[in-house]
Amino acid sequence: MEDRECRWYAWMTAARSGDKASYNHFLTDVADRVRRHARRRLARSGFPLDEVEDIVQEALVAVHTKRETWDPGRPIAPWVDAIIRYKTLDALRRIGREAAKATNFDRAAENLPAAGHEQSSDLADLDRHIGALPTREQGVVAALGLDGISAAKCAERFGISETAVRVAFHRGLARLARLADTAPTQDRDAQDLRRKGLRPQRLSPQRLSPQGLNQ
Amino acid sequence: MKTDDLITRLVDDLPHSPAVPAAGRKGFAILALSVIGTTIALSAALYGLRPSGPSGGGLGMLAWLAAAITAVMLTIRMRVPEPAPMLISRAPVLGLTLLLLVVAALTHAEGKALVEPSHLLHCLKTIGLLAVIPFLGVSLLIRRGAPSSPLAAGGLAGLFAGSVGALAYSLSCPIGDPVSAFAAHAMTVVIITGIGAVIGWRLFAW
Repeated sequence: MEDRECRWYAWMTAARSGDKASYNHFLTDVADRVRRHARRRLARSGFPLDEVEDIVQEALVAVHTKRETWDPGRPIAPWVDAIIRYKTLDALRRIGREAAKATNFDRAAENLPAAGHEQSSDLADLDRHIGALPTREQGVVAALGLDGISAAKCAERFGISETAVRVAFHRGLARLARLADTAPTQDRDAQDLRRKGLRPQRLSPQRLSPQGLNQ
Repeated sequence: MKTDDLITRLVDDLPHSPAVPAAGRKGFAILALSVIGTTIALSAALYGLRPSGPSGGGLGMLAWLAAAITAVMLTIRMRVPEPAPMLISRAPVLGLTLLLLVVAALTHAEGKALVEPSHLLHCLKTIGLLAVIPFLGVSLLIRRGAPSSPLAAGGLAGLFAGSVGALAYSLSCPIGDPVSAFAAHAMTVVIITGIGAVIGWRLFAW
């Protein structure tokens, strides 16, 4: 603790007078500490560990933008720790809210495009929009929303926690809604790509495999 | 973006983005004195002065002054990211308890006799209006920092604003009985503190 305090104090004091190398050491060391703290807190709360780097980056930006709130007459470690705690708690609340929103899968699934006389074109759009999602969200949305399997089975299939499934599903649906809103633009983009001899991103069985999701 | 890339960018940004320093003790002291003066002048201009001296007596005024100073001193400690003092970390519980006490007093016969709901409503309107300037002033200073608990910082800003409002309005308040006047003002300050906490929760998040 004292060692860390001395190290950080020296680096930050040098950084305040413009020493970039010291600031780099300081931020790298702080990032390691945030990473350990965030990993522990996420694991304890049962949230997916892939949020760790987001928390690390948010904390680093906060340390950078609020660096003048540190008084050189006071120890630096409690100041950094308070920022880490604040940003981790903030992220845990956000993830918790996202997971809670995604709890009612049946209702959420009803929001997917409904069957009708334009069913085939809707399904083609849906296929294209799902193809535009990040890999993990593609698999989870397809498994829960289209195949209709339970969250527990989905978690087992992809080797991730149930909370991670809920978060991915919620994010996937939110992204689908945004994609649907910007569909005309997307269509233009797809046409442009085809004109240039490129294929727009499609949903492929390989990308939906458990290996693909764990990339 | 990878974290290493972000670190590189932040390091490059070091000389280009001079961070805004948190407001110091002097800034808060100047703010406190100027808003107390302004609010008293505003209260006198809007509601006139009581010929018989402050409602709630001189002791009441002293109590509101002490509350405002305490709130400012705690806000100074709260403005930067450091472990909050024990009292502050319990502030949400304390605030909720006080709010429940106000509700209980208003629904109880003796409480109603002490503070008529119409008086409370009147005080809420007048002190609430007077508290706007102190709240805005202290909020500007808090936002330059980074409070570990935005909720508690908001509550303290509300306590400061409400106390300054009560201090100023006690020179104009028409309620005759000093105990009733002080009780009505105290309930108003508790309610403003609660409102401040709710506003601060969003306003002081960083």
